[in-house]
Amino acid sequence: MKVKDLERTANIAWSPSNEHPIYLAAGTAAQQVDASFNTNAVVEIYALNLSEPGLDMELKVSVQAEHRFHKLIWGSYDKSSDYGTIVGGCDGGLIEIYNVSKLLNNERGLVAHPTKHTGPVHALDFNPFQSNLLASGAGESEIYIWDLNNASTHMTPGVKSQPYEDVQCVAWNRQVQHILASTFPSKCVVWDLRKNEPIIKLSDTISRIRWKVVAWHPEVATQLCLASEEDQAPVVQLWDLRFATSPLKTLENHQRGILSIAWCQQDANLLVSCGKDNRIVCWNPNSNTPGGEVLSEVAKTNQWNFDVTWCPKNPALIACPNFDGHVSVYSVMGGKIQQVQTTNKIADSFPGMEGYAQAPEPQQTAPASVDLSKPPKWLKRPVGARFGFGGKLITFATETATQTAPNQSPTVRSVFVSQVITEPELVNQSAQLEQALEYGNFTEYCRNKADLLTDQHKRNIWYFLKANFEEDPRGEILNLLGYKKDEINNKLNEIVGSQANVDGLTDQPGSYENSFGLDQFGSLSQQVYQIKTGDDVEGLITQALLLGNLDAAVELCLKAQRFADAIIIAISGGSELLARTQYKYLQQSKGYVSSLISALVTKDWTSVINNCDIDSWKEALAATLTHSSNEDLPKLCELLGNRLEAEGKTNPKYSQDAQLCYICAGDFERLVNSWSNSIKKSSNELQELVELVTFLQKSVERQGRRVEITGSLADLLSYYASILASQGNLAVALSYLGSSQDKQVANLRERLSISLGYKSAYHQVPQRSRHSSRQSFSNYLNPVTPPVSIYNNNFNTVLPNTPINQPWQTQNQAPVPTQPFSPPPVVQPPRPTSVGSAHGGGISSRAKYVVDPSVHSNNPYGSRNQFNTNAYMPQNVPINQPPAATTTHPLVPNLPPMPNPTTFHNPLPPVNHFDEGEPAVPTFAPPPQSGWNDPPALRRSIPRLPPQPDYVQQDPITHPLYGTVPAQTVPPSNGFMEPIQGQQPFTPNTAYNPNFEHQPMQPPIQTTGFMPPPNPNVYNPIPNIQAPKTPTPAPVVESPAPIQKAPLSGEHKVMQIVFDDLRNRCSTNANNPQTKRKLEDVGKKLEFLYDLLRDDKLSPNTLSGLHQLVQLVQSGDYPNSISLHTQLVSGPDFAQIASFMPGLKVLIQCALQLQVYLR
Amino acid sequence: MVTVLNSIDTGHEDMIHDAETDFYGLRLATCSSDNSIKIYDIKNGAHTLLEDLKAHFGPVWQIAWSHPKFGNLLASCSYDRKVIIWKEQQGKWTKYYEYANHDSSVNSVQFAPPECGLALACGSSDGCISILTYHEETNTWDAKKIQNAHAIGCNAVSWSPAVTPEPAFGNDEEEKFVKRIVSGGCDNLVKIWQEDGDKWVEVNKLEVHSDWVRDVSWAPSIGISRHYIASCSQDRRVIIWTSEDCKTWNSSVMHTFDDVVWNVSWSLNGNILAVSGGDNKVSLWSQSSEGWNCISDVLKGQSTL
Repeated sequence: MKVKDLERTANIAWSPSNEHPIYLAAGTAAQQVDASFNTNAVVEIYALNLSEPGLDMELKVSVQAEHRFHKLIWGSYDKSSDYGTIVGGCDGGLIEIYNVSKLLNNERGLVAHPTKHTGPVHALDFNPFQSNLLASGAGESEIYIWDLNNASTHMTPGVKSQPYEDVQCVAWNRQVQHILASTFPSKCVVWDLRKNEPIIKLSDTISRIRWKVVAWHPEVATQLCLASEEDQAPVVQLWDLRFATSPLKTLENHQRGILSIAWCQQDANLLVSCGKDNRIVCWNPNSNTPGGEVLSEVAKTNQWNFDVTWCPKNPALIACPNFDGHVSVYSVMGGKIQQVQTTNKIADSFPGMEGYAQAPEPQQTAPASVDLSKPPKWLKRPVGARFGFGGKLITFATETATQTAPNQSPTVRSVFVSQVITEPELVNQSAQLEQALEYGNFTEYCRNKADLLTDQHKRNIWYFLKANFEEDPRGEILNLLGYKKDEINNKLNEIVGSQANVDGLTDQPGSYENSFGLDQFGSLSQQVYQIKTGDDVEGLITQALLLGNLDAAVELCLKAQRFADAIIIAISGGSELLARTQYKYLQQSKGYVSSLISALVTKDWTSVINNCDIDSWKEALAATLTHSSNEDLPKLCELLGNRLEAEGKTNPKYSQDAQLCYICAGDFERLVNSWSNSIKKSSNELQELVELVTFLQKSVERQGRRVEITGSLADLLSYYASILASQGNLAVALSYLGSSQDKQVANLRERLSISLGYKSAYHQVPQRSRHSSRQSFSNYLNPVTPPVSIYNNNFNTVLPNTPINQPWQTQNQAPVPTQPFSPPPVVQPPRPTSVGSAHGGGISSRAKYVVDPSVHSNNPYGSRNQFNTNAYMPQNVPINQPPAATTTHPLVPNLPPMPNPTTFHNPLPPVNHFDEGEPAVPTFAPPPQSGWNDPPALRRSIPRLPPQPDYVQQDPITHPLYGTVPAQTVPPSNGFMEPIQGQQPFTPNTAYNPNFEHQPMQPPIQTTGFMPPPNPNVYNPIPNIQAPKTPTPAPVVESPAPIQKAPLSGEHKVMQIVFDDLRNRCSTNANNPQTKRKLEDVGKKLEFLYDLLRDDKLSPNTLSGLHQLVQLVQSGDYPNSISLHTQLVSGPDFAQIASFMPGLKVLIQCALQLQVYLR
Repeated sequence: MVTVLNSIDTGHEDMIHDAETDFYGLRLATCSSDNSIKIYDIKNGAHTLLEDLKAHFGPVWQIAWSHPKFGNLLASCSYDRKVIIWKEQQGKWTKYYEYANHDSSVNSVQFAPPECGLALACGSSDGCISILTYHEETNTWDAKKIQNAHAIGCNAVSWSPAVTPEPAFGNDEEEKFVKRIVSGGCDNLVKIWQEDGDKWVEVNKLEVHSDWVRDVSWAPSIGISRHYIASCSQDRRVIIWTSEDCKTWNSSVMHTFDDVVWNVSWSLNGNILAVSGGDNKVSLWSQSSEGWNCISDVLKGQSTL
């Protein structure tokens, strides 16, 4: 594509690569004569101006030259400035040397003009290594080497070669600085300047070749290209001087002689040539294609292009002067020429002309875009790095040729995934915080924190927080404010003496009535007195009293300022009168004590807060703490805080105090807002604030209030979580996000959950699910295996069990081997069908659970209930949906043999939480019972179970919760129908509820449509099973998961009993979600163990170790069991045991910490 | 500090030109001069090849993942002048849309932030930038071309984050954001374009580099009211452009390296910049009060700091 164009017939030279901006020098060409026979010679310098649209180049300077040029070159040599030197070869053996910076300054730029040559100087070249060396060639085989430092003398590379011919071209080698090539029409001579003699003479005697141009290979020192201008043999030949008898390659594409070639310095695979066939062609000279590989035809012009040069700095550009009076700059990168709106320029110069009709644009067919058929080297990015979610950095690089030995195995092209941690401090502190939260020792932590801090205000904050966790938060805070209850009470007592009920009185504000016993009244009036009823005040009062007109009496008293009397009278006059009297009294009384009293009476503390002097904020706070109710406290504290903050603009101490009030109030929004804005800059501050907030959350929750994560708190937490996520602590980050519905938080939570694999990410967008999120426990079980599917069906069949686990869990009743009753029809082999699709095909054969997206949409537990307990829908669903029935139908043929432990691993160990401590084992023993009673825990499907792709997808149908279709689709062959119906009377429904309570945090498992592998054996016994079912609903409810699987052999059973029991107890004792989660994880690991036991995969060594461990655990000896565990782990069987050992350790540690024992 | 978690031998037969993880960090796509794109599952430190997409006729230069809310889409651009958008359906990746309206190699492709809808910007060596937008109502894509964006080719495009950066916590106003992109080209310029009605106009032309601009990247919004753009160039410099209002930009040279700089990429929190240079070096830079500091030097994945 033509990028720029100049209307000159000139020889051109680009500015060297180290110069910026790019210039093009043009010296009037000596080869041409224009119409007017003008023989003026100018040297002009144009700026390339790529940034300007349009084909024009900006003329920078133009100087007259004495002669026109045959050749022009631009080298970077310059003693004084950076612009280099332009050298032109003219007629008469004249070489003109210009200093460019002088030229650009419009000074006389010609610095030297030696005239030593004979004839026109056609050939010029600068040495690429020593920029002061210039080679020139002219007639009579003259080649001179000039040192620009001293342009008056020159040297020669050797004896002039015979016969004398015109030197067409000289070129310095690009790798070796003392090698020079020169072309004569009949030969090419390569000189070695150190030896000062020619080393090789190349000639092609076979064909008639007239050499015109030579160009060295940019990278290989011994290779060069020669171009011939002979029309009969218009070839470019690639020679290697090591095999100098014949050319290596011949590039034939021009139809007529070639006038010039140029080799791109940045990419040795690009060679451009121009010739008398009016074409400019770009080749890859290194390719082995016979006849030469043409990458593209860059341009076809009307006249000969007599020169072509690559721009040293911008390798996409070549400049070609043409005999038709133009110099064009082309880009080899393709693209279409853009029509320049010259009309705009005219309009600028001639204002007011825009309205005139535009000249019609010449209709040209837009030339096809031309670019190289292979990309040039400079487009190929060799290295890169990108960040990914979770603080990951993906990097890739190219092995350079030198690093891999040739002939070795093929180059490894790798991509590296790295974890970037930039805030190790934050991560550490966050971990400590997590630990503290887990252990639950809030008060200690607060105290420690406070002790560590030096800033008094911060200490106060932590003390306040600590107070919140104490038994009597209000009292503690009062203490901190300086009002020690006991002390003050004592003081008061002393002063008041031991009169009755001083304490009692202060604790019961407002109970004026009956504070004086009647007996006390009795003692008052012992004396004899007259009752006067005059018209003086007292008399009037007396009159009112005698008549019982208490209102009047009160009024009179008030008017007479006899307030005490007024009040006493009012007491007898009813509460309304009393209230009025109080009000009037208080209104007129002055002083702060009265305000307090009035607040006490009216229970209106807001007025105290609003009206007291800001310095008395502590007192106001104390008052509030003492008197306000639990509902009012937060509001009042907030009010006080607001006031303080408002005042805080003048006095920063107040804003700090405001924070204390917010802490009392449990008001996150204000607290976060009032914290300094430097959170974003300093991670320490951020960490502090987050700790504060977390503790405050805990304390607020302790007080029974719910914490809503919105607004500033949401922003803070999501910011914090995103920082943690960027350090790679995804799980921890997730724990901070709670269940807020704030948009930012929800988005981040979603992202974290999916990234952690708690949810499955890749759903089919249009297809089935209504929700966009699928909640399946993808890699709950197994980090590497793809998502887990939960088979939903057998809801019914395992009714009794279902309550134990969340409905979806029930699905997988493993068909207990051969035992008829065995977990009813459910056995679900992993169903890869939809799952496979859902998971990008990456499912390995170990796919245990396949998630059926359809189920998600139906899942009531689904998206809404991440951590909730509201999954009560099942209650409404008639549990007796026989999903199993329906689904078993298609499966009949595919049933895997019973013995296959098709129990699915319960992805949600929480299931076990339901267990009230009863070990699962007992239900194992009586086979029939175990069948029915087994909680349909999902069991990890053993790998033996091949995926059954022909399962029909029965999405809604199999959904037990939506009792819709299933009933109808029950295949007749399914013997389940009856039994299932029979299950209705089961109480599982009720059983459900309590169980649901237990799992506030279980992300619902997807119920998927699945077909329980119809196990013929299973079918039959169903009716039989009914009987045993009934008596056992109760225990069933309790039994935890692991029942479906084949029972472990006797001795191992003990292990299972013990561990499960311990785990269940721990989880009931655990009081915070982190522990519970850990225990769920432990449950999973225990499943691994059980599987291994079933399969007998453990070595005797390990087995004995485990049994010992079990004994220790049973006896409650945890420290020893931990050391035994460590021994085992460091033993030889690590690989075997690695899957479950960590779980055991966590279990024992939890038990130790929670002080849970098996007795 | 940087620790290598995993080294994936891609099996590509030629140079790799881009590698990127999806929104959740669970999948990785790589593209190469061998005309193919490979997709891996990289959950939990393991890696499995999910798919090998071969539909380009030339080296694939860059890939981009869309936000999951539009489905699983992956865009790729190649020397063969095409931009292909791939979609995953049922575990298989198929061509969802192909755009072949450029006249030369398409060098860069990036999806717009999800708040702008499903849109894609691509920069080509023919000097044009195309913005492809998906219209849900008609289920079609339309393309707007910015002609002559950069004289001899556009090397990189990057979208501005959608949310106007908020000054501090708690600002809940959501302005209608204007779509902006930044592009860098072979004319040594960095240009910022803005959508104006139904066309795109150039709002800034930033000229500081003295050689081809190889990559530009607009930093994700981090909640402070400032925009950051990083650009790197053949002139071995990385320049950071800052602006408060997206109208005037100030530049500062972050560093001058020893070799050409090919790639700049911001971390998701917008506070670390990864710079990849010609001698196979990747370094991480972060801003402190004194300026930009190199916090790590990762040489081909092996951490040295």
